[in-house]
Amino acid sequence: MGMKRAERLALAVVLAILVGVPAAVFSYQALRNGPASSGEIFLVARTVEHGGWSPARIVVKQGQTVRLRILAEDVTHGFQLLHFGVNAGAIKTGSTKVVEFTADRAGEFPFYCSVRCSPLHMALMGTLVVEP
Amino acid sequence: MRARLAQAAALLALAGAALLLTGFLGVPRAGREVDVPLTVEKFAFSPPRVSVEAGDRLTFRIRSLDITHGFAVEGTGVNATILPGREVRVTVPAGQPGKIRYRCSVICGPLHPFMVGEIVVEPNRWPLWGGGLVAVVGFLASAGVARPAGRRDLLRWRPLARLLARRPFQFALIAPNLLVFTLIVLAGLVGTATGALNVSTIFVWLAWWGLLVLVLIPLGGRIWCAMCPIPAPGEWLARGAIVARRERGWGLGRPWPKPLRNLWPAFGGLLVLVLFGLVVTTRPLVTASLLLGLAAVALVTHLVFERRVFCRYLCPVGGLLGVYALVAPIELRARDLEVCRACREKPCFRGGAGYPCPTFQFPGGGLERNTYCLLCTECLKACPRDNVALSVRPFGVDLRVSRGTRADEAWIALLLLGTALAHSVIKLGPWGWIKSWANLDGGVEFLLYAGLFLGAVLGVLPGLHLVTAWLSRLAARAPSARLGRLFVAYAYALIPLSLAAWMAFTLAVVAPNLSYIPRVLSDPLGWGWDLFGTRETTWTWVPLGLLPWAQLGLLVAGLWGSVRAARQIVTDALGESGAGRRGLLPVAGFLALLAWAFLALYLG
Repeated sequence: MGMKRAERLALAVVLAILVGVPAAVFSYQALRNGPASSGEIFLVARTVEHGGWSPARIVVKQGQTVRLRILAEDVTHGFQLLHFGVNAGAIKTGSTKVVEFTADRAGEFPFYCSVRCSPLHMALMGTLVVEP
Repeated sequence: MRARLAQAAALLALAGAALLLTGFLGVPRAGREVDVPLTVEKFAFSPPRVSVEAGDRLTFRIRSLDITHGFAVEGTGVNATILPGREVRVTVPAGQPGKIRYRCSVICGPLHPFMVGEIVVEPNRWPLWGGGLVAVVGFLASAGVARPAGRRDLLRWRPLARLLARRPFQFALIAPNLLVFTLIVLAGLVGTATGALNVSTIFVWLAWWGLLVLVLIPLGGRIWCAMCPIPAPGEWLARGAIVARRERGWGLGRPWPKPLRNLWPAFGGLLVLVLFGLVVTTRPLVTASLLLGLAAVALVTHLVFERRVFCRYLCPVGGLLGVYALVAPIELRARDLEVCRACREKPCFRGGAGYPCPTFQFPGGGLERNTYCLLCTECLKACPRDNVALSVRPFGVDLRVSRGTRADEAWIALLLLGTALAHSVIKLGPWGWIKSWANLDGGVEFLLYAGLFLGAVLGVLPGLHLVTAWLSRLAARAPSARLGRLFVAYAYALIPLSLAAWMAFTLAVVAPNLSYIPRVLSDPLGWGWDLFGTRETTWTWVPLGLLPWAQLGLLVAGLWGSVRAARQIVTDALGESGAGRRGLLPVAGFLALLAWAFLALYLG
């Protein structure tokens, strides 16, 4: 192999790494969260100090069957949506739990963390919006 | 007389080992029921240490004072989740004498991997018999006879020589590491802030550090420098080429300032790094910033100055590797110095078919120690006379080369030993207060911790080392020997023991936390991905029963190497006769004391 070709190949490899890694990471993430994905809503639980629920506001249509996949990102959390009788129990750090319910009433409903997670645990609240 | 002493010592060691074994094989008696109220709080158990008799049964009544934690006991299947607000009862039988560790098993914050507590099961004979073993090994090593060192040139095997001489070889080593580096930096910047769930912290401080300390350094010395991606972009730009040999690149090629031509800049960087060690190793963002910062400094120095001055003078990890590379069983040297003397062009140093040595080494003359050789193989490519050897050799040979010993290297050796001890206390010990002090939880507390840390690492340990040198001079009755000289020379004898201590420490950090690796491989950024189906890999205990034995073996081997090196160093400094032998006594004693301190900390 000539040195010129080796040099060009090496440059291509370096550029592929520096551009390819971020591109692969972000496009895979976009694909997972895209509208064509499983239909699950991905909900991340963090302590209030680190940003709280993400997203903090979930909008669904009345009558829709809602599937939430909840990830506890920093410490162990819980998930409670009392108006629909949902209580996921403890979700250990780094693991996910899936809850499913039918949004049969319209309105705005708060959801909470049910496992003490920080001094501001009581303030870890999000809102489920069910549109008629 | 000497031979008989050695025999007696060996017998004593055997008897000690036998007694140690009987202690472990003893049948536990039916003991008491011990009730232990235990509270958990970030990042400590209270009480941190429970002492019981072999045969007792402990019942822990565990309550969390803040958030959810776990309680897992080493070597047993016990693993409970401690939710806040309710008490959990866990029963643990204390079978064999020794130390049983329990640790948090539900990620609770940055310091979670270091949240441990201890059950000491009496009669714990580890420190006592380990101490006896250390004394005997120290004695035997100081009495042993040095054998001439044999070497084997790996490049006599032609396929290897041809492979290393190919220009793209080094790039092939760097490219995969550049890939991992890019992912690590990206994950640290945009991924989860939870260290245990982010590929950056787990890969750098668990996988890379573990591999570096347990495999690469003990076998290959500075071989990491040959594949390190951090200086690569700067070097490529400065050379104007990635694999090819080009005469002119884009670097300014200025000479490095004379006052900085030493390892003090690396020493400073290393000191900051180990002082903030607990923060750096548990925060993805800090880890990524550190790597990016190093890469940025490397880029600038490459573009402004000549060759790889970053790796030679600035890189903190380079300083660490340089000192430990003295021990490594591998070396790059000239085959025949006469050939080099007759060589007029000296292309390995000035450049020829290959680039000139990036760290200003000349295999034909100055290169007698591994400290600054990056194993980058450029001299192999440059040498027109096929006069470069890459040899396998016995451990620790370079420690006996007195030419080129310097205060900066000696202080790095002392810093590394002190840090091994300090980090063992902070990270592996059960004392929560020092963990939170070191974690930057509060400004005043951190200052107190910094005072303690720097006092111990820069004050107490070097002070003891100085006293040792003074005692050695006193014992040898050689008042004309300069104390500063002895201080520097004797520091090299610490290196094998301090490397062994780092290995023992790293083993204890890495082994219980291995299950994080499959997790972050499947979900590198902590975004809920599951690439390989291993994201929910739960906490599993690798066979940790072997850990104390491995730690004992490593420390004893390190002590052996250190005392052997000390023997040579003291003889060189104080003379071959009785003076050298008497002067060795305080040094060997200090080394044995250090080895015992580590043993007592790990096993006591």
